[in-house]
Amino acid sequence: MTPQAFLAPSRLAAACLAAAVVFVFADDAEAQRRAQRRAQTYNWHSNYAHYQYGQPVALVVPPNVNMTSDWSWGVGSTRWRRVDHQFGRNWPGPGPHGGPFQPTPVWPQDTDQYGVYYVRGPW
Amino acid sequence: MSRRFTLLTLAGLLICLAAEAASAQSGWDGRRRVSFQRKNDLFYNYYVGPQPSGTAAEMYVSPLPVPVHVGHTYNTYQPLLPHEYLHTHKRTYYTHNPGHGWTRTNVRYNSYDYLFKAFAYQQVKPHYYPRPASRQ
Repeated sequence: MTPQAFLAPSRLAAACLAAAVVFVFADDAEAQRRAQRRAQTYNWHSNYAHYQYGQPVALVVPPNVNMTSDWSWGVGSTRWRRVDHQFGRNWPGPGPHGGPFQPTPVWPQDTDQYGVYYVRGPW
Repeated sequence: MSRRFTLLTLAGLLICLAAEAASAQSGWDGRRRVSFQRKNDLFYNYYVGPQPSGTAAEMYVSPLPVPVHVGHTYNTYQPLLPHEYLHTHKRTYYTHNPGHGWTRTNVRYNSYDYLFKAFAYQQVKPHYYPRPASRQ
């Protein structure tokens, strides 16, 4: 096949369409798998308990959420981070798990210290 | 249309279908476009944690947990579970009733928005932003 025939507009259009669809679906699935793998490597909460519940509280957010931010006092203290953890069907077993947790400081310096953490809802 | 072009198009379609199936079949933790219902699944909860070293949490009662003595609210119809309203999607529920065959329930959660979002955005935008000088 000559290069001119191989690069015919109809073939290029079909190839681009197939590549785009594969990229969209495969990229989405791969992003989900990466988030699941990352979620296994760190906890969904920091070591602070919510003042009413005595342990970290998971705040359900939509499953298509990607990022969240933590605010703090001072220059350069605002951080952006991924929301990798997601509610799933696996029962964690009888508790209690983890702990002990620190209470929210009297003068909180960071939104991370309130004991409320985003967790994505299931698909 | 040449035979080679037809084969190329069919191959592309097959790859697309395979990618779609791979992205859809992630079990309970993936996107479930199709759900085969089981009776013992009705009041199952969703959990997060405790891996690797944290605590665990359950999703319901939502939006926040309550003490045990307060009680628990159960939703008896899965398509109306509150977490289904969190994002735009659609799902088909298949339920087998012994002696009566299968029933199929299609549910859309604002899915038509996909079709009209671009059009609606173009219609709404000029009301919120000043028009360009060339249009005045």
